[in-house]
Amino acid sequence: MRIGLDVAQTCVERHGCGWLADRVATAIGNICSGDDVILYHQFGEWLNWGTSEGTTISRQNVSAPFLGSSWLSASIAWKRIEAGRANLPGDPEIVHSFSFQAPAVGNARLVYTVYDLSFWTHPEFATEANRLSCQRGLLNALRRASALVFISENSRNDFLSLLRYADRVRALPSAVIPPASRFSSLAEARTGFFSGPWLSVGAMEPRNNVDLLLDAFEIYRERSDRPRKLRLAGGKGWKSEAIWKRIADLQRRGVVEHRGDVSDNELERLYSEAFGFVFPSHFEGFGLPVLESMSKACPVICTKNASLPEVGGEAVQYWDGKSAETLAGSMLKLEQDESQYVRLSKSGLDRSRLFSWEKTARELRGFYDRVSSS
Amino acid sequence: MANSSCARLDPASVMIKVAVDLSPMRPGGQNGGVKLAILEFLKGLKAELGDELRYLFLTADDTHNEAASILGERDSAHCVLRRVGRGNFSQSIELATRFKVIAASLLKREGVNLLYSPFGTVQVASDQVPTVAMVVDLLHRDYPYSLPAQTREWRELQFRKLVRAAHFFQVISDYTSLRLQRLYNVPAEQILITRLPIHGRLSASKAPREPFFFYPANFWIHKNHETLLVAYQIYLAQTAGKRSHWSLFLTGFPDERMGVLQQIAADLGIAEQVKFLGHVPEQELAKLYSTASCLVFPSLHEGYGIPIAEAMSFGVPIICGKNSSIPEIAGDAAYYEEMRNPSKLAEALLAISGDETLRQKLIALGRKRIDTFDFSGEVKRLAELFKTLAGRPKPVRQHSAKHLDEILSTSVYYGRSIARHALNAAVNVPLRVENQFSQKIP
Repeated sequence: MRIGLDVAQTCVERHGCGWLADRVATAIGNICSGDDVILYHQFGEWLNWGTSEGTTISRQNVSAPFLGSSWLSASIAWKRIEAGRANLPGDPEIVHSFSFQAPAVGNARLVYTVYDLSFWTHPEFATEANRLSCQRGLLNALRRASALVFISENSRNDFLSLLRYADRVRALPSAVIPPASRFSSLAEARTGFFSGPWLSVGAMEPRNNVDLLLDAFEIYRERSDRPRKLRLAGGKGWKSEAIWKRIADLQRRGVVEHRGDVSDNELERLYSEAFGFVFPSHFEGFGLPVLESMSKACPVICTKNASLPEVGGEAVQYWDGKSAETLAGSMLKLEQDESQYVRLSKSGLDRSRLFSWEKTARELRGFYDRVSSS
Repeated sequence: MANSSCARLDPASVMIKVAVDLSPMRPGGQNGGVKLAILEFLKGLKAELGDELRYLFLTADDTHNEAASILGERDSAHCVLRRVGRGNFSQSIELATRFKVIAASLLKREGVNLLYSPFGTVQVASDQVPTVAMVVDLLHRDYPYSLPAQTREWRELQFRKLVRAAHFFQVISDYTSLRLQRLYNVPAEQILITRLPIHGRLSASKAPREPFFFYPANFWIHKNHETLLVAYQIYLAQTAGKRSHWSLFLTGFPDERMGVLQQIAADLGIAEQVKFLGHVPEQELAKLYSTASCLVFPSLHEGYGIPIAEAMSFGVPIICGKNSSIPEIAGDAAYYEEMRNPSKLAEALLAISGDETLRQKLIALGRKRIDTFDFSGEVKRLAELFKTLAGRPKPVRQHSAKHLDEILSTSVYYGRSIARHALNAAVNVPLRVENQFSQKIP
């Protein structure tokens, strides 16, 4: 089969989707040795000025027609495809989009990744530009896609409850195929308390509930016998000026340590060192940080909402999502109960092994078969 | 049209000879509600000031007759812009060159003592004449996603010039006034707020109410039609099999975006229940208001929100969000909901369509509120302003280093524009020429 993969977002600084596209493409390139895999570094309206940072796979069966192409030539090529005057280079049977876009793809069948529907269910957590482009992409996909891939059961449920009526029109085939961790799972779980700090990961924006996390942390500091520091890793985000001031203040007092954007290696080390991972997010499409923390045997406290129970299962400590008071309570409880700490470390690590990129790639490959024969 | 040859001055009062720049006016509904408001203001001023007022309209060829139709005997209208059959680029070049020269010489020759720019454009602005500009919104800053990059740049440039060229600003809501002060440092003393309750131009018909939601709006991004369609689709899913559903009627200038939205309605499986009516004349609009059961107004940005006043006057209950000027106009007489969340909007549609008592309550609140709106009062205040400014001595303007900034930003704009057009020509992408809706004038 000829499989086209959208890796346009891997050419810029990688966040969630770009990073996921990179891993999926690499995994598919590795397992599908009998197929032709075509990487598109320019995709639909996502056109890059340079593609040198993009995903590359050096295998015989993998080609990358837009690698090194200029913005202008890519723009002309995609305009011709949009107008129906040309097919995609490499003439794929399946084209898989990872960037919220559903462009015209000629004769190919378009598989569209739905990360989440938070731009509709929680518009307050999206910037207006993002909300508009996600909305546009999904509505285009209703017409242009031949199949949908959801990254969590929760995203599929949201889709069905919001578009129940529309779904009858085309009843697109779909599959829930979760991503996996960036980091390989450790061999051994923890056998006792770690001395490291608490860790939280995510951009400093409203969705990640950073304000409440800081409130909880201050309560925790007051009540704990031997309070630990809080380490934060994550970029600037938006609507974050007030939070930023608070963090700067706590950092001066020496109780919070802010790391900003960190490299993959650095992040892996932070999980490995941390005492525990706190993740009070309001909403997740999947919840990768929870999985990554589990893969490093670092016990997790997170909210029981959206997709997080699918990731955490029984292997994390859920917090009721209500108040800073209860979150601080959860942190104090974990600090006092070593057997629970060890149990969480072990069950989290076990659970993290259920997810792997190879498994994701195999499921996707099976799904492509289903789509191309339907 | 009639050209006034004599300019007799009444010693008791100053004759207001006002040049009105109507060149941005488009045929039909392309300008949206602002065009209606401007025409109402111009008619109102005429009625209010009578013989004291002389109009000199500067028009474009495609709307010349429409503008001239509201002129009195001693007024005149001059067609100074050719638009029919021409692209945006050549139009903007003409605006900056030929148009400017002709308009300036006209102003001088006719002895104009006030310049009124209701579309907020500045091509005609002159150092010699006091200038009033109307600003309806600052969309290019407050909701930039609705505009292509070049339009945003263009408007930004226009506003920078405007805030220096105009002596007084007419705005249409407290919201717009605050934004103008905030974004362009215009002092509050230079701003006159006149609202737009222009519902009086429509007369109610006796037709009975019919089960449909109504949304009159051009198909611009900030009007938020996509979310409305998804919400309406949820509403249909929830009423299916339980009770009969209401339809959704949409009016608005039929552009490319309308086609896109029709396609979305089809993809959502609701094409049958959603009616796209295009641009409708006033009579038909009045009939729609007379028969609609609910105004759904999911707009995310308004300078005023004319349909809100219209719905209140026609006794139509309103669903809207608390965005920009909307709560200022709707007050307590609307059902508020988050308009970016289709589930919540669908709940609002269900609540209104399923609850007669709630509808009656909203209708009563609306009627009570609309009684406090008075368009003639708004016109009177604008007339007062005209009188004051026209009687003033010629404004003296200080030239400052700021002009350098203007020259720079203008040349950067045109530089970019030329580069963009050259690029488009090189890759053979046809530029959009909006001539299919233009009409030839005899």
